[in-house]
This record gives sequence, structure tokens and C-alpha cells, in this order.
Amino acid sequence: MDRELARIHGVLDAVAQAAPPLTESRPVEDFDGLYRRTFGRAYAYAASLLRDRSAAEEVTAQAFERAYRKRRSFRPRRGSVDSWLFGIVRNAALDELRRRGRRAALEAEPPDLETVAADDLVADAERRAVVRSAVASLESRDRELLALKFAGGLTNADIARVLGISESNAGTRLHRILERLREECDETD
Amino acid sequence: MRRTDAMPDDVASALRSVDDALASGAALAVDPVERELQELALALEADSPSPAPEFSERMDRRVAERFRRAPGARRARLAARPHLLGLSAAATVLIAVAAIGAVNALVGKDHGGSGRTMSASADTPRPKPSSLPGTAGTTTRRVERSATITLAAPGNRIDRVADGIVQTTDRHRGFILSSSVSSGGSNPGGTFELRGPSGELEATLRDLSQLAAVRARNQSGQDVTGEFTSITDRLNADLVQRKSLLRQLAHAGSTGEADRLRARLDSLAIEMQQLRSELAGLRQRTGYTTISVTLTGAKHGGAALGDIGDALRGGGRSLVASLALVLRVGASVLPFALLGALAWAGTNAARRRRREAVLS
Repeated sequence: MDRELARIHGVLDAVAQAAPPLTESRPVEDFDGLYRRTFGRAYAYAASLLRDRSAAEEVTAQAFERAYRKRRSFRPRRGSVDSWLFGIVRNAALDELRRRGRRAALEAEPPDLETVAADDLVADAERRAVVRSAVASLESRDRELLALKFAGGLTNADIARVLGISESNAGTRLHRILERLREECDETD
Repeated sequence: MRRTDAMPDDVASALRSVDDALASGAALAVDPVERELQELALALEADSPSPAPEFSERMDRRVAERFRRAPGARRARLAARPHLLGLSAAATVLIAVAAIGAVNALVGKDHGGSGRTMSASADTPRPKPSSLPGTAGTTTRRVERSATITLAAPGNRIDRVADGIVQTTDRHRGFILSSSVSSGGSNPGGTFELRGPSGELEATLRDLSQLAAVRARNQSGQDVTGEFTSITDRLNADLVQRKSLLRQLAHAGSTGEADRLRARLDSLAIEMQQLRSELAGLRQRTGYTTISVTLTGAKHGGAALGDIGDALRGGGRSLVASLALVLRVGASVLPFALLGALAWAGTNAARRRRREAVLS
């Protein structure tokens, strides 16, 4: 029971810290500040990409360690610190996927049972199930873009930086994916 | 190349409403479609996985410890990824090759304002660079050297510089063949013909260069190894023939035969004397170098002005030499730097493609 409550608090905390004000321009911060601000979001992004909690934990830890050791290589003129960090998380996650040969898992792996159990307590569980089903039907690249936006809480500019595409391309792709999800959810309703 | 084309207005508006919903945590758009998008965005955000408390605590500790590693972990990591060792080795080799190129560029640099020429006798191979002046005695090549140097000094310093030339010649065990100095009048200057040991040539020229501003400097070498070898061979052959003739003379059967042998021995002695003389002359020419020094009066007057002019010229020469050095080093390193940059860019692009293949 305690474990379940802790998970609920974890979900609420993650939701609360998921998206900082998108227009805020942050000054250069120390590593502790960066960690505190982005840890939950980085984990959420890795978990969304990997669909495996233990792998996501490993990748998140690895990415933060790598970011700490390479923190002096960060150049603000190349993009925000968030895009730099999420680039590291992304590389670590993709390497992990490649190592484990988990392409099939990316295509269709059911969500963690524990997450489902926690979600059952949420009132709009049914709505979420519909959304999850629609998300599961997307291509991997589209799901990754959604993960960067909603799990990672990145701005469109940062997403563009992480994926190596233009900001307008990132925005257009995001809009197309959301429209498709909306239509699928409407059809299911 | 990153494109910067703008998004359509309706797309930009929809994305703005999504961002508004994420920032406020509520779907408040008036437009029903945009409101649905906002609700969808909030649902997707709320559905994001969150870290387990145990993992959060573990990470907090690791961050507080600054990801301290166990001793030997780095070595083990390298051993587990042999391609890193290979890349390190390749990078080391590349840097070493670049460094050798740079050093070669430094060693092979010219001396500004001076020239060196080297010619060989037609019947001898061109000598190796190691037999150039200043390295005499390191090979068996015989090189006849000569040098010219033109010094410029203000009229009131001509005598002092002339004395310096004489002292420098003495110091390097040379002697003056001829000299002519004119320190007064409208055209002060002088000429000196020096002879000095070839082994002292570089040092002599260096010391002469310190006496006044160097207007020109030239060194030349004539390889006479072939000529030297030819005379030596002929002399050896004559010695063998002389021994043979002496043996024949000792066993001569008649007075006529003895006279004929003596006549041949006499002519052989004359020829050998001539060869020895040529050999001595050749040794003299290769063992000593002739240095022609021309001393001219500088156009400007006072000693102070002369010193400043010399200093400025010296500074200019140093600057040119430094720039030449930088250019040489740059030219040596640049190709390797370009290759390295291309390899780096190619490796990055390939790695990115390989990583993203898992999403295809």
C-alpha cells in the first residue's frame, strides 16, 4: 500500500515538474540545479522510449553521469542546456535499444503492469487507455517526438535541436501527430 | 543544413494553444478542435512515466558523490570497448606524423637573405646534403667551398668593422689573402679575401655577420671527389708500376735493358711528382675556404641612426622568418587537421545514422 501511494506521489510530482514555463530563458546553472530540474523529465523520456523501467533507470543514470563528466563541453550558443542533456539521454537510450535488439519491443510492448495499477486510481483511466492505444499505433519516430514533447517537456526549438531538424519541421510533425491522435481518439469514442 | 522556413498559421496557432495548456495545466481554448488538442496534450503529459522513489534516492546519492567510480573502472571500460583503444592509437599516430612533419618543416627552413649553391663535377654523382658546408669530415666527399658576404656599416664605423674582420679571421685560424679599405671620402668601404679552414666556415660567417648589417650572403660548393679519386687511383697505379719496374731493374740481363728501365722510372717519378702536387693542391682547396668580404658604407650618417636602421632591418628579418615558420608549421599540420575534421564529421554522421536505425 505504501509502495502504491509512493508511486501515486511520484506520478503527481512528475506531472507537476514535467513542463517548466516554455518561454522562460534560464541562466547558466550548476549541475545540481540541472539535475533537480530535469531528472524526472529525463527519466520519463527514457522510459517512454525504452518501455522498460529498469532499462530506463540504467540509461538515465548513465546519461546524467555522462553529462556530468562532459559538462564543460556544453556550449550555450549551440542550444539550450536541456537540448544538450536530452541529446545525451537520447543517444544512451538508442544505444541501449540497439544493444538489446529491442526494435520489436518498441513497436508493441504493453505498458508496465505497475503503471497500469497506479493509473487505475485515476479517474480518466479509460481516456488514457484510448490515448495509449492511439499512441501505440504510431511509428517509432513519431512516438519519440511525442516523448520529447510531453514526457521530456521540451520546447519545439529544443526538440529540433535534439533531433537535428528545423524548428518548423519539428512543429509541423508534432501538429500532424497530434491531429492524427485526436482523430483516432474521436473515432474510438 | 537546418531549415528556417516558417510554419503555416493554423499549425503555429494549434501548437501555441498546446503550449498554453501545458503551461497552465488546463484546456481553455474556445475553438473545439484546439481544445481537444489541449486535452490530448494534457493526457499525454499526465501519462508520462515517473521514476521510482528508490531510483530517485539512488540517483540523488550518485549525484551527491559526483558519480565516483571504483578504482580501475576506466581501464575495465576501455578493455570492454576495444574500438576505443584502436581510435586512441590511430589518433596518436596521426599526431605523431603531424609533429614529425612540423619538425621537418622547422629543420628545413631557409636562412633569410642568404643563399647556398652546390655543384658537382660532371663525372661524379651529386653529393648528399650531408656533405654541404659545415659538415665536412662526416663523409668521404671532397668539396671545394667558397663564400661571399657583403656588410654595410656607416662611414665612421668602417675602420672598426675592418679591424673586426681581421680579428675574426685570426680567431678562426684563417689568414687574409688580400685587403683594401677606404675609410675617408665620399665612398668608404673595402674588400677582403680571406682563407680559413673549411670546418670553421659557418662559425666565421656567423661572427662576420655580427660585425655589421648583412646586405648579402652566399655560399657555394664544388664537389671534387671524382677528381680527387682519379688522382689518387693514378698515383697508386704509378706506385705499383714503379715497384714492378724496380723488380725488373734488379733482374735486368743487359745494360741496355737496365737503361731503358731507368728511363721509364725517371718519367714515372716526374708523373708521380706531378700527381702528388695536384693532390696537395686539391687538399688545400678542399681543406680551406675562400671568403670574399665586401664592406660598403651605409647611406645614412651617424652611428645611432645606423644602429637603429640595423635593428629595424634585423627585426624585419626576424618577423619574416617567424611568419615563414608559422606558415611552414601550418602547411604541415593543416592537411592532417582537415583529414581529422572530415573523419570526425563522417564518424558522427555514421554514428547518428546507426543509432537512429533502431527507430526505423
